[in-house]
Amino acid sequence: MNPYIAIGLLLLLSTGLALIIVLLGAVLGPNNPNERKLEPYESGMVPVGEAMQRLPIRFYLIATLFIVFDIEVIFLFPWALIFRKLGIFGLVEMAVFLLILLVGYIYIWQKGALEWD
Amino acid sequence: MPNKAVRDVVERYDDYIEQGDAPEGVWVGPWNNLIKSLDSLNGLYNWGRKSSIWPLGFGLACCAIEMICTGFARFDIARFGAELFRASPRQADVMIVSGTVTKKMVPQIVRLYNQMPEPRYVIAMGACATGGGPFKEGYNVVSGIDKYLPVDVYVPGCPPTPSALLQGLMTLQAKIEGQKLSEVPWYRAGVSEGFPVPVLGPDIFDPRQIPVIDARLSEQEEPTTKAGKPPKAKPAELPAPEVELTKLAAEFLRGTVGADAFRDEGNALIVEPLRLVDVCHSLRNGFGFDYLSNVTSVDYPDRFEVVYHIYSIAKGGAHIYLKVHVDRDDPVIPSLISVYRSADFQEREVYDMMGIRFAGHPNLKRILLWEGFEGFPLRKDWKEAYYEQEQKPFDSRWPEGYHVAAEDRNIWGKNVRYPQGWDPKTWKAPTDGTLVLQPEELSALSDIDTDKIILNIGPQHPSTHGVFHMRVLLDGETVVDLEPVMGYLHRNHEQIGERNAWLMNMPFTDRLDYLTGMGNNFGYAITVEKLMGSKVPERAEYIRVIMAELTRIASHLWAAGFLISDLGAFFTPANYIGEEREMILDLFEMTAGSRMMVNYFRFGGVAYDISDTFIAAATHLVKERLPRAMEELDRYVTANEIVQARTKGIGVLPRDEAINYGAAGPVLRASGVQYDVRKAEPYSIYDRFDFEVPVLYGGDIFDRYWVRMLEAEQSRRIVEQALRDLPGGPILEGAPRWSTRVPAGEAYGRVENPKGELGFYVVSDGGSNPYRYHVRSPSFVNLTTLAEMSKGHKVADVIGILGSLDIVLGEVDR
Amino acid sequence: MTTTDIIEVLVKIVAVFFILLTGFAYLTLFERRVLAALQSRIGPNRVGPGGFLQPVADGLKLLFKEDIIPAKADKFLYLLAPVAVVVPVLLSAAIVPWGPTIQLFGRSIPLHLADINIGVLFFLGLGSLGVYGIVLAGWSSNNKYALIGGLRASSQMISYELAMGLAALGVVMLSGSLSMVDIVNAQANGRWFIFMQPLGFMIFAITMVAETKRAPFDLPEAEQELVAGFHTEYSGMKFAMFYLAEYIAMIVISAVAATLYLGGWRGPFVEQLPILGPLYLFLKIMVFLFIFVWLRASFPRLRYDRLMTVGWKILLPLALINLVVTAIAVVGADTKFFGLLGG
Repeated sequence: MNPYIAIGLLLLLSTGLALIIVLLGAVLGPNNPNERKLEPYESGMVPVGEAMQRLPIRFYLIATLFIVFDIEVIFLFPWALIFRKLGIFGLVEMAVFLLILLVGYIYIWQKGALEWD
Repeated sequence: MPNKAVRDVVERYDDYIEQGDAPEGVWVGPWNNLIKSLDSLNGLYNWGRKSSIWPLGFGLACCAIEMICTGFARFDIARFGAELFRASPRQADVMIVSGTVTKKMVPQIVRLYNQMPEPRYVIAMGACATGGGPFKEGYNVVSGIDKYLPVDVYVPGCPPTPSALLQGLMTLQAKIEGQKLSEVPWYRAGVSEGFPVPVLGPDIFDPRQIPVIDARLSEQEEPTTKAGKPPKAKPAELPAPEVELTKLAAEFLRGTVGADAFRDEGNALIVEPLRLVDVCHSLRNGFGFDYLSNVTSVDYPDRFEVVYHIYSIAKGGAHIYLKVHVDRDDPVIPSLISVYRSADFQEREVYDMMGIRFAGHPNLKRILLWEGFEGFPLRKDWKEAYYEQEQKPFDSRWPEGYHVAAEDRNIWGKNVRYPQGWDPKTWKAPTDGTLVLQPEELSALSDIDTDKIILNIGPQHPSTHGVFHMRVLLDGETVVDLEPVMGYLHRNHEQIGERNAWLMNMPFTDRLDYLTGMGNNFGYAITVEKLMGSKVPERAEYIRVIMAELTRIASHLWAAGFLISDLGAFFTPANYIGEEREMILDLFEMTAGSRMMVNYFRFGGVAYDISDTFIAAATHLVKERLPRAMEELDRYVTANEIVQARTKGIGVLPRDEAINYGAAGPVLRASGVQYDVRKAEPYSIYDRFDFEVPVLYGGDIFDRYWVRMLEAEQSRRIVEQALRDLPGGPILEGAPRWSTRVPAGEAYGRVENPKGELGFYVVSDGGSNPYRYHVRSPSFVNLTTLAEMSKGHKVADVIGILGSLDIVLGEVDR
Repeated sequence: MTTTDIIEVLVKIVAVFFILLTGFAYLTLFERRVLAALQSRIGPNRVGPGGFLQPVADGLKLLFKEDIIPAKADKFLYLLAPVAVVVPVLLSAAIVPWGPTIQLFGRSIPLHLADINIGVLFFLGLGSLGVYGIVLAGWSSNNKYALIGGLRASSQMISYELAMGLAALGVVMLSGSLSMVDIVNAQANGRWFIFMQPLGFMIFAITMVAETKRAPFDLPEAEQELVAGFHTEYSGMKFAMFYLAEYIAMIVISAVAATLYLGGWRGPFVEQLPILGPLYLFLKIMVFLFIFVWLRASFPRLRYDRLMTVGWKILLPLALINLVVTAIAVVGADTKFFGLLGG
């Protein structure tokens, strides 16, 4: 039997379970919202300004770098499956690929993109 | 593991319960309760809620320490399922208000309570949260949290022991057990609209109660000031014995600054206000007196007097006293911040309490009270509400024949007063502090830079340091500027000091640095004994040293454990040292009757004698348990790579700055300054003991932690020697006296407390109350270094740096 | 695809849910008791015998707590975030092989939910999907602390996912397949991959802790610094879902680690007595869970910049080195007939 059917069923049931739990909590608990209760929490003080209109850019940078390296990892997966059949030729080929990416890695390291502040 | 005696008791108690003799409400057997509760839906609903009560993680004052001890190994609140102290109110069930509720803090508390989801409960822990405690009706104190929030359980005590808090928790559980789904308020529609958050104006007020305030203003006849209370003896004629050091200083100054800048008055130099900075410059640079320890002020009938105590690090020994006389009508004197940075916070405090302005101070704003508060409380002509009302002594006692309880449920107590002609509707809050950017300013920052944000750390934060608030200006993750805000625990200690008789102040000194009650008592006792000229018997001296050093060990163990916990080690080291600290507290309880608030020292000795059990237990403790505990902590913590990475090189305080900022105690000694009051100006019998003063040179967080560990080891040696040499004899000079009259004069006495140099400055006019009583608190002055040390570090480091300074809010705010 | 097939799948799903949810509940109790024991305390022991019913009480309490939606929070995302965190975690339990094939009611039933031929990739992909819920939670709460916490958590997770993927690649190279069942079968006769991939195992173990945001990598939830991180504004059952997701992630990732490196359900006598399979897997999972709790009790947390440094500058190069060395060793063995991996 197609294993994805099981996964599909699991997806449906887990989403259903999660929604039921959330709904149950919403229904069974008391519901008394008032302005003061819903204020954002900041150690008991009144928060100043909106919660961050602009985000620090380094999070975006990390995400972009992650995408680049994740694509590399994805390319490595099929090679990992059949590399034994490719023998030394495949090894050398992959080494070249990794070397190119290594150059990129060293570049971003030197440029300080991996420094967190 | 619990020892055999404890296990015997537990076994007997288990038998007692199984026989069914236990009273109702006690957990009888593991299943009975659940089965009983399953017989109805109410039962199940309540069983779930009472078995999993998560407290909100914040503590106000001394009671918070006992609350934390309840979570540790000896008392273990985890057995009830309640050890998950949540930092966010959204996830907490009960708010344990542990400590004095001050007017400055109460808006935060009410906001936090409002943000808790229902069902929610409040436990008022301790006498202060119940009804104001020893600080009742002070000018910054709210007499009980039930003036603003509904309380479910009151736990009496000052502080209640952890067993009492557990009893309070069990009472809350019993209360929850008795609730019915059909009657609980949170399922009824349209019930709560949130509790009103009070506003800090000239005094605390609730904006929704403006009609009531107007009515009260119109019937308020008493003026807010009164004619100055005349002192008993003219303090201007206080005795001023000749002091050698003052003569030498006068001679030196005559040579450098000129004889017209000051006047030699025997024990002090009266300096001309405009020449103050020159005088201090030459004292610091030429005469070697580089450590400004204390800045305070006294209100005499004809003048204000600002007093400075300056010490020399290199020479040690006694202080140079400088006094400046200021006119009462327009008190302005130059600020010493350009010469000694330690004047920063202390001058602000003088401005806050006495109203003297300091020209040249970059940030002269109130530090303990809030901007907008009306009046200067420590002036003699400031009339204290409630205590100094026209009808004396307490107008709540049966006026007109019927009883009106002092805890009426009005939203303010009797200790609230508004200025004449004040209109609450048009009042606007003044800016508080330097680091508050209004939203308009935030958006005006340059578009190219990353945003700088202002983060409020505290006053409620789970770093267990108490109600301390920091405003941090962050650029990304780096701290650009930091402004400490204190005063959330300001309990008008100094004004109470003037109101009390001399001996009545002793238990209040316990509540300064509530982890080191014995040490605070020591400081106060030796200061007053200087004026009284008492001679303390030998046995009492040895007992005093034993108690003070045991306190030092307890405090340093606590500081070390909590520093590592602040770095994230989830209280494991704190639990390990917790047992040793509990054993020390047992010794205190055995002798003085209380674990923390000991009230043990008297003028001329100590109150109670120590027993043979004490000596045996203390010997066992210092010879066997403590070396093992400290070695275990050392092995666990010191070599740990993550601890090293987070503490080495972080928060460095250079040597010169440490001295200039007036840092004291381990903070000073970790920066390479060899200065310990016990060696520099020995008091009591410290010159008889063989101990070293450890000094380290890195000045970072790790060194401050390590210096404390080394000092604890030295204290252990002192206790060993003292126990060995303990003589017999009386413990108090003369007969115990309740009311003492201390001869007129002024004295400044200091002790080396675990946090640093604790100083007491008292002025006596010969009466039975102090004329002026000031506490030089080490944590307060050490905090001056926080901003400097934190700049350039990350936010995560700020918590570590604060932990390494080891502050206690009771002392910072007094 | 008969109805019995569907029923078999449904029964397995229910069984997996049961295992995971009960496991989560008792993992919380296990953690509290073990932490207490490591701190010479006792831990919950009053609610039911030995504290056995503590998780039930916690669940009941959270169920009846008020449901707060903060002012100006993005309502849809705020409600979606807990679901988005829980679903990937539950889904990733699909590929874990819980035991060998057993004979029941005349059918041979393999003890895994789905044997897809890209099992490892599926697991890694779901790990990445889990990041969405965290960011949504932080963003939609309209709270400064929560937002910073959410972004930090997500950056941490994606940084460590790279090293995790590369470490898992080592195992894939040795077994020649991405399917979890094939990986377990390749570790027969006690030739567990931990012996051949010690560096890979170390990297996987460290990234495992970072992925689940457990100590010493728990800065995004750090109470001391950020006052509770991305779930600051969540209360009641929605908060319970974050809690649930974290602990179930711990269980599932321990199961995956046990499968990849410790031979999964393999152990002595498992062919004769197939029921021993799940038992062995359970024991191996318990070892990892104990290590999770032990780490939490023992270490202070890493500061955030050091955490990112470890992920990008230490683990990533090490994982690449591991990959290259494994590749060379395998191809070398093949071409030079060293017989290291022969047969």
